[in-house]
Amino acid sequence: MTITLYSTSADKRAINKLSKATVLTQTPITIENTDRIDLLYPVFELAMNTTYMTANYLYCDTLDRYYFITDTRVNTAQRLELVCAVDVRQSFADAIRETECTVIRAESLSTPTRIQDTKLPIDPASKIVTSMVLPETTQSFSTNATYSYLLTVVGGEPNITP
Amino acid sequence: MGTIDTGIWGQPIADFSGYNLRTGASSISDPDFENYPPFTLSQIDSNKTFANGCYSFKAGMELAEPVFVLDRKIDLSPSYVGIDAPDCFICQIGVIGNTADSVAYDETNVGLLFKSDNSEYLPLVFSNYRYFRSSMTQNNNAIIYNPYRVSSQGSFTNGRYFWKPNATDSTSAASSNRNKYMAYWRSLPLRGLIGCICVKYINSWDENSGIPSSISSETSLYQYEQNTAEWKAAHPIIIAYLKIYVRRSTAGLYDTPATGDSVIPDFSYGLKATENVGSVDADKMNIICPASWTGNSLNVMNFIPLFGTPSPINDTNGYVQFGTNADGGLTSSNLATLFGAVDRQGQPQYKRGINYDGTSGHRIYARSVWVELVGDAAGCEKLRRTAACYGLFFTDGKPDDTGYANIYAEGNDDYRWIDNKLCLGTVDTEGLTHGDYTRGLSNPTSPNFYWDDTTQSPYDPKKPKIPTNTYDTQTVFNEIGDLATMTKRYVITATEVEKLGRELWTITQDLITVGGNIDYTNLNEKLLDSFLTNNPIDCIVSLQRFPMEIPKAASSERIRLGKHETTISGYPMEKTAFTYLFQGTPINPKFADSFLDYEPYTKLELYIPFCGTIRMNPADIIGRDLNVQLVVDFTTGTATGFIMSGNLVIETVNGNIAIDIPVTGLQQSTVASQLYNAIANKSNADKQEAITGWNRVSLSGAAEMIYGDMLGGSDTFGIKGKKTLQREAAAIERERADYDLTHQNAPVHIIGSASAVGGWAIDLNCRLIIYYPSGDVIITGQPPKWNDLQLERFGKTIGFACCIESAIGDLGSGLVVGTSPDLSGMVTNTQGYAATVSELDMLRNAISEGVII
Repeated sequence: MTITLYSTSADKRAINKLSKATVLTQTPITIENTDRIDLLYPVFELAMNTTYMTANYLYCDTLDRYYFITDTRVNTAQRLELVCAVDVRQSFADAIRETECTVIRAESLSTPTRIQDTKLPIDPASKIVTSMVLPETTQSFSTNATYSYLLTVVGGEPNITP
Repeated sequence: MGTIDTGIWGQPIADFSGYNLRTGASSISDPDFENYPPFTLSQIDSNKTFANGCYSFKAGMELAEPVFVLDRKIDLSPSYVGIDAPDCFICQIGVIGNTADSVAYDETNVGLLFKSDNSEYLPLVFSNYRYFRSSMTQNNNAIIYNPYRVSSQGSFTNGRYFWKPNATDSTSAASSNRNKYMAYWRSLPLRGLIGCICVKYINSWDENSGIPSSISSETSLYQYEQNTAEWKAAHPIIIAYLKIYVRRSTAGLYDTPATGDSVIPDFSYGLKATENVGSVDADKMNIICPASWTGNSLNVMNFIPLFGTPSPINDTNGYVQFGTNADGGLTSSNLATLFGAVDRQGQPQYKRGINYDGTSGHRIYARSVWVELVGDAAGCEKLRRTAACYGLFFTDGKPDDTGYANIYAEGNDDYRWIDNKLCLGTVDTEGLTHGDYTRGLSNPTSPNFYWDDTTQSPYDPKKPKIPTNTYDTQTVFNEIGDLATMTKRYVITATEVEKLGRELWTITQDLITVGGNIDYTNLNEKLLDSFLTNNPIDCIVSLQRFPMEIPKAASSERIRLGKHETTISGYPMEKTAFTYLFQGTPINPKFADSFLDYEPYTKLELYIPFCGTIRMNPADIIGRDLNVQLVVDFTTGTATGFIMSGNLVIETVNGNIAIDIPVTGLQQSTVASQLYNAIANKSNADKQEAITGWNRVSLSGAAEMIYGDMLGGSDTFGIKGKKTLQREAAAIERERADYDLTHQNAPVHIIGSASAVGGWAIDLNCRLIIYYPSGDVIITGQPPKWNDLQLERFGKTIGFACCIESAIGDLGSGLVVGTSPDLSGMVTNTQGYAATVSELDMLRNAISEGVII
């Protein structure tokens, strides 16, 4: 069983952390565990090496999984123990890409959508007021029109107006 | 007789009993039309004298025999037609029913006449279109605009057209084998134009070698039959079969019969013949190919002639010529545009008959021509909609130099440019069509644009049909008819008003002056006689002022009060009402059509002069045209505003537009009380709004608690703390209260005035008032601002809210937060190790927390 050590600055949510990782061990390191190794939370025992202590991420070929290094210990035998937790995002990256789900938030949309987003930090009390005029297509109103008085009287011949 | 459920226009045609194809009538208007026998297949031979007759259709068509029905599944969706054919075939589609109730081919007058619903003949306007599906050929993805080419595979290559997403590049096979390419219209024979959809075998022709053996052999026919049998869902829809493919009675030969040949109808492809139609004779006329026309005419070709004798180049057999319409509907130049015959180089060939190769003795049967719709725009649009019913591609207009409608794309589905002449019938969610269509770059918005086969069609013949409603998006405004009144209305100016006022003081002078002396004897009787009342001023019913030039008669006349003619002239009023139109304005969203464009974030109020404001829901008008019509009622002095989304009225509002000018003391008090009531009503309404809003805010405490418990603490960028959320919750609740109130009660928040005078003093423009969020971002300690950088940061850290069913990797790079992931299948890593149950739980949590692709 061998492991490859990395130092990565990638967000823990990234499924491709290796793009922001530096390989610390060009050749994989053989593990010298004498005890059983847990699949999800393994502790890998290896020879002491200051370079190894800078690692925060590793890959185990036998288990074919990637792990966060959550703790580094030096045991009584002066050997390094790397306490790990499985990174399912990197380990199952392809499966995640193909997984169908109901996406409720996405960066790639670039702008807010019609879905109401209470997390968007806008200030609802700050409003801009503007207006849009609908232009007239017929004659305009005018408060200064000349023939603007309508007199209704009893007398004369009634109108029949269309 | 046979009936076919065709699904035209999305509705099945239950039967064709109302359809009759009559033969022998002289014209559509023949009074004995109904008495002529219906056409049957057996009449093909015996009625070759139709040359001088008229083949008339009434609406509908009766199938002569069930044999006309292809022995394959018929379904309701036109979109099934032709899709998924594994090999090239040609489906000719005729205009079903056309837009007219009946079609008459008047050979005597040398014209094609469409009898419209109002019994008038329309000019010849029709389109044709066809759909192709092609396999790969030796030319790969090249477009071949060559109607005479025969492929090495011996498939039917009259006009082989297939998908070419890039005008210059060849593309992958997956892209090429789609019904994405439409040739420009090919002409259809006259009878094919009417009510016939069929799949028929077009004989390929190679001018150099006559009918090649590969075509004339059984091999090709076998291929054709195999192809048709293998079509997953190629269901031609037959209304009526109007053509019969004949061949020489000698088996295996599929060339044109010569004079004297015995022929039999060939129904190898699922059609059955009932009888031998007999010998070919030398008559030029047959039911499919009308009599030849001479003179200034053009040819419409593209089908196999039934009968006839090959003859030199001007032979008119086997095609239809359209000459100048006797009604003047079409000139020869128009026909040249309409039915431009082209030669092999695509050069228009006007006034040409079938190109006859004197050496080989064969005709060129298939000329690709295009049809450009000419004639009235409404008729053309009807025909496009008819074509669109088939849910297939069709083209509209003249071809460009290349002869086909180009589609340019980067990759398979990245469409950069689509010829605007390429149209696609729109298919609804049930796979039915209703005549709508898209054009050009709008085509990729239709799901059937991407179909590779009919399995992608949602149509299910077994699915019970849900009765559809009839929808209408147009409000009909009625003409305001005549209004007879017992009074007289005069349009006058302020000058006349003053004059009338002064004249009222002396209006009784004549009645009390007798012989130069004042005499009040019988004054009452005299007043009643002159004014119908003892107070002349009571003859004045009302005096109003409008903020406009009131439509008036051309001539003025003396104003009469009762029988008394005053010295003042006025113009009789001309109209009862006048409609102001405010130009339709498209309402576009400000925030790229996000939730910020809608309530409660964005509020809209529409101010209509003299009517005040009315609350508008952004969802009702965004993306549509906002139209306002204001109808001024001169009788009552009121105005009614009709607010329309597009052409549909969605709101109305009323107001006072005329100033009532008191004439007497009684009138003055009436006007004052009206004003008082209007103001009091508004005041009460405002109080109600405040109380209701307060109740809503106080009840939002529960919301505060929920938000606060989740996050606590103070604001951190992107994550709002409790106080911020409380404020927002209250603000939202208050706005919701406003929203609810205005939609439960009459609009109480108005800009405007209860009095007409006040209304005159304010804006005379129709104005949409928009309250929208500034987009200010709350960041503690920093001034509010909103910019793309912060939006980008927000997207990276939190992501934009959405609701999309998708594979996580299909949304592009960046943060994706999902819920309800489908992990039901085997989830493995790169070496194929399956995820444990615990890891699957971790994956679910990871997806709900977010993954960065």
